[in-house]
Amino acid sequence: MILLAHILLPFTYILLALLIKKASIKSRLAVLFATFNLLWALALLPIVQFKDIIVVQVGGWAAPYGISLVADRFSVFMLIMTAIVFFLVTIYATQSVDKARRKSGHFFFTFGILMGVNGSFIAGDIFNLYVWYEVMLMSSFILMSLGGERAQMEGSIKYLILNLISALFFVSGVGLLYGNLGTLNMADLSAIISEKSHMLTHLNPALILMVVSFAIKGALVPFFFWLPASYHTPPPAVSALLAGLLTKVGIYSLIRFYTLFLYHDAPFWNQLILWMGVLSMVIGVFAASSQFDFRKILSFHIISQVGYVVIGLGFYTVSGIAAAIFFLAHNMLSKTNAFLVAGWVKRQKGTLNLKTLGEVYKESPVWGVLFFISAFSLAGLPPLSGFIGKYLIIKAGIEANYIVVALIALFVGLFTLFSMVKIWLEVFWKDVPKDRVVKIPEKKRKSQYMLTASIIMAILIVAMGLWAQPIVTYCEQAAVDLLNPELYIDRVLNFSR
Amino acid sequence: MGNILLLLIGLLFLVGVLVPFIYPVLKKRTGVVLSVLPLVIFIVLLLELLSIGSRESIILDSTWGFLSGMEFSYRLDGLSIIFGLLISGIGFLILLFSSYYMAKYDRQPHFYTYLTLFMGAMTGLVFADNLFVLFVFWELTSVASFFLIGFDHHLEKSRQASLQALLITAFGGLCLLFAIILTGNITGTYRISELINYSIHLGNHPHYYLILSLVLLAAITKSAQFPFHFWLPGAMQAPTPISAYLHSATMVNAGVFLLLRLYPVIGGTVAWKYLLILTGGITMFLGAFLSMGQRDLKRILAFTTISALGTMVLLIGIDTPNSIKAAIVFFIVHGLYKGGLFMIAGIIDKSTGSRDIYELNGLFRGIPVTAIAALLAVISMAGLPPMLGFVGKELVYEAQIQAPGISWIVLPLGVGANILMVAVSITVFYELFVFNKNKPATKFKYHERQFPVTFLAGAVLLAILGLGLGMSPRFLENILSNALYYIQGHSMEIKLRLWHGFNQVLMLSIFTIFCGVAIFLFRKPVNRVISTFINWLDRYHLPTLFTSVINYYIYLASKNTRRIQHGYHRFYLLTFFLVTIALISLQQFRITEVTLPESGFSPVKWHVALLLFIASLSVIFAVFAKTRLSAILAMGVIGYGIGMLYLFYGAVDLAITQFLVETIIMIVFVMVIYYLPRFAILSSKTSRIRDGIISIAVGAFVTLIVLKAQLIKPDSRVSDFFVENSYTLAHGKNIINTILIDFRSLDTLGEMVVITMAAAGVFSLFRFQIQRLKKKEEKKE
Repeated sequence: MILLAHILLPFTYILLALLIKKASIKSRLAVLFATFNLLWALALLPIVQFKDIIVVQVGGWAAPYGISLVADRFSVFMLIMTAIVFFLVTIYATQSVDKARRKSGHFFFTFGILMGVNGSFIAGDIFNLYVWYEVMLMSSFILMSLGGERAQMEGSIKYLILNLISALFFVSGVGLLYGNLGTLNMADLSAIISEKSHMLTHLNPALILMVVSFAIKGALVPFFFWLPASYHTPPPAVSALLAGLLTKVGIYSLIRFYTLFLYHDAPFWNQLILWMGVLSMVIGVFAASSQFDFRKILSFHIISQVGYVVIGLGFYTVSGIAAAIFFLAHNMLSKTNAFLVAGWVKRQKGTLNLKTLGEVYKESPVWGVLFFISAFSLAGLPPLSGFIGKYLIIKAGIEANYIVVALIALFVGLFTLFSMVKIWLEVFWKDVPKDRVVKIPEKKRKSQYMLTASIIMAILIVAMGLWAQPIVTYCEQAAVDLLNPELYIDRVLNFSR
Repeated sequence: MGNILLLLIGLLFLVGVLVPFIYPVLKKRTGVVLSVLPLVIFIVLLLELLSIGSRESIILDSTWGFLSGMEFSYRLDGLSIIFGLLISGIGFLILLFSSYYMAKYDRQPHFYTYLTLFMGAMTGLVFADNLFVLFVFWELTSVASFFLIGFDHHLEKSRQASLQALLITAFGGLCLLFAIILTGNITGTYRISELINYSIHLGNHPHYYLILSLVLLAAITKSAQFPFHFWLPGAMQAPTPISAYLHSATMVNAGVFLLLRLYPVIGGTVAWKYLLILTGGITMFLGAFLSMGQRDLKRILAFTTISALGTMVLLIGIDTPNSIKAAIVFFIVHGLYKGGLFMIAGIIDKSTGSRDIYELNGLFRGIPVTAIAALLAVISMAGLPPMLGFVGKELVYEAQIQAPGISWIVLPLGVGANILMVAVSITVFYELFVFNKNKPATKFKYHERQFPVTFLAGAVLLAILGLGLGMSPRFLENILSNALYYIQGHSMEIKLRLWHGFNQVLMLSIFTIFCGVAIFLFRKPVNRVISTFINWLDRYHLPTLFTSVINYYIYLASKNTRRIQHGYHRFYLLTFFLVTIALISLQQFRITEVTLPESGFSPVKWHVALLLFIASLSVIFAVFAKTRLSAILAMGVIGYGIGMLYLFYGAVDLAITQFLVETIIMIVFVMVIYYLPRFAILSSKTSRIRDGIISIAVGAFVTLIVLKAQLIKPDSRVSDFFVENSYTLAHGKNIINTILIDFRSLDTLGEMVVITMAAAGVFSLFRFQIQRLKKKEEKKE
């Protein structure tokens, strides 16, 4: 039951939101449920530390026959990070998102995303995972197009179509795998594949289809196109949420699949994934340098930073995977917070074009510091969380003897810094260009909740850097568990109450 | 006693962060109050200096760090105490100086925050006993200096300069990080004291040259060595107190410090020596040479700093006990006079409003005390007795003469640079302070007596200190020998004297002064020559070059980004499919044996064949259809065909579902078809052929994959379970139903949510649209 709550909590909100009309009650209820979700996720932490892997067989049907929900340390960590991001973005959205949108169900759809994301992190069954992907896709698509502005529609259509391809690949992969092996349970599949390792290459087409589907979701090169096309169009609170959560689910699934299925054919997958990561890192940061829209720069950087995570996986050592997990978590916080600051700038200035913006630092040093913390964390400067993440990745690379890859990861950091400083110089330091008249909203709108959310996030970013050791230790344990699929298989298949 | 240092460095950071909250209380006294902190550090270090033995290092352990193995523990030995004394001492004076200099600036709390954090980072850097911690502070100095250099950020120039400084020093920082991780990986520790105590030297490791070049890159970027020197003159954009601090004791000297600190681990090899001598030598001469052609006092000083740093790097490269000693003494000399001179530049700027040495004239009248301080500082810079500068320069000459094997090139360069320094020193002092009839008299905005004592204290105290240490350099002997012990690993007796007796070195000094005076006398023609040279050099103006490289990079990036992220949907899809096909075929090549299923294919019945034939025909029809409606109808035929196929193979319920879905889709399509734009063929013939080929390829691949899937005999465990237990356990007669609502009910729940989302989404989108229409109508009315 303990894991089901992560699906049923958002589900309850969705039901309630259908019944309630008033926007203010919807918002308050959303914050309340986001808090519950956070508390519940935190409650899983001691349990998973005690039990290593939490398994729930839904409906009481034993493992390969029913649907299993499984949460190991990695899943729980992702659940907690998701809950934190979701909680803070919800607080932020109560003020940032306009009333019309809130009334027509902004939170209704965000909870749809939460349900999908939570479900994906605990799914122990590939078809069930597919279902959660669909929940996520549908809610995020509607959230993106809600409001129906022209740019928004264009972005969201691209988002939808390219992601439907991902879904198509995924479901074809699921079908093939089920046709071949007759089971959908991930633990069962892993066990069968390790028995039939001589047949492995015949399974690869199905696995390739699924990996491509994850790569599309995770916005890896060359499957990232949907992301920069769509993330800068919806209201900032929406982009913040999507940037914080969506790609991470794709990468989570990739890591899960790698450690359960793909590792059997490591020579093929390892190089493929490693170089996909390297390319993502380089191309993402390269494309970002050319942009002059606050959110577009950040969007392209998502691609680059996802690359970091994937090379951590590609090293396929304990330290590599631990680094990948840490980096993933750091990125969820830092990236989301950068988007939150962008949202405030947009609200204040009415635009996010770097060329027309300026003087924000003078106007509000606090938001300046908040951006500075998240941006420099993304660029990997000490003592922020991004520095630890970058350090761990590079160290893992050196230990795994991938010196060149580690060097590339190192210098990509410099270009990230360049983009972030570009935003800083243009938006925060420069005077507003005189020939560019920007319409300023007549009355200064209150933003205390937005500020609170962003400050909490910034504090977490700093704290994750200053007190990294416990988190890194946890990530290492999680990596050890991931590299030991027998434990996973055993706990799921030989489940007893 | 030393333990308090841990606390003090932490306090610097804490206070730095809290300045914005302290400032409203203290207002203009903030600078003075803050200056207490570095003063206390200075006193603590002074006491340590007096009590520390010549072979003693003090380790201050700490248990806190970001990660284990990276605790913030500190180390006091000769090297760190010397650097620490200058950092805290000059920091104290700078804070005093700032409290008046910055009084009229906006955003003073920001200024003090950056400055205090910078001070903390710099102090932490020199005392760190852990390479990792050293790096953290190293990066923090880069970040803090970014904010300090860009303090006047409404100016384009400031922003450019801060960006350049940050990118270059951050590049160096990354190199350092990599080198440190490699070192830690090889030796298993980041602790400096362990590396020194176990005398671990990496000279023979295969990664040595990688580590060496990374460390050197870090040092020469930070210490503004050729060809990375150009960020330093740009950094002049910072307010003067900052320049004074960056140049004299902090930031740029960090590179020199790094070289000295890592000497025991990676120093002393042939590559190390020659690389350092090369960069140091070039930088030393170039800096001195370029300082001659400048007008702005701060720029002149900036180039002399570059030269001085070059000298230190060169000395480290010469790599004899004498040269290392000379480098450290020279660092002290330089810190004292450069800090003083920059503050003097600030005083002149405040009292006259100009820094152009050819505009200013006869300043002695207005600011006599400053003039005396300036005289002492300039004498020290020129390397004349009785200042510490003389002692320093004598040591430098001695080291250069003794340079093994290469003194013939090092010595002339050194003497040449020094001659230029003498000339610059005399020129600067003469132009500024001596009255000259030919130039217009300078108007004073403020006279010296109008300034508070704190504003003048720095320059005067540093000048006196230079004089005092020059008179009794023995004071430094003990600490120097301690520093040398931990750098080169063996102790030696150190004797510092102002007067060495008549020898080779003294002769060289006299020669230097002669030539320097000569250049000063003929400064007009010399300046002309240098100006032409600088004008020629300006074509390769490095800051501009740097900017244009960045611009070119952005141009390239935007060009290629438009190529990658082009916005054409069909090409995105094309990429997805092609890459997937490529990946699948790539892995197919790895299979050597291809076997058909043993059972072969079962024979196809005639009605199935007919069905497939009709479906294929409708595919072709759909592709070539001229109207939308016919295409959709053809698609419907395919859908029904698939439904029939299900029926033939016994899946009745699937077939019913398929028929239902197809029917609904058809109806919806026909309903919306009226609203769609006119059907037209926009793509060219070639692109249609290309798309056709790709589509066929994708189809063929899917077929292949499905056929191959037959190779593995499916395991029917799960479906058997459903068949056996749906009635007995799940109490349902229809297996599909039991699967949907019992065995896999969670999937159904998820799908229901998807449908709810979709329905609610359509509803919301419509309502938004209606609201917008209403608003439009209201506006019209």
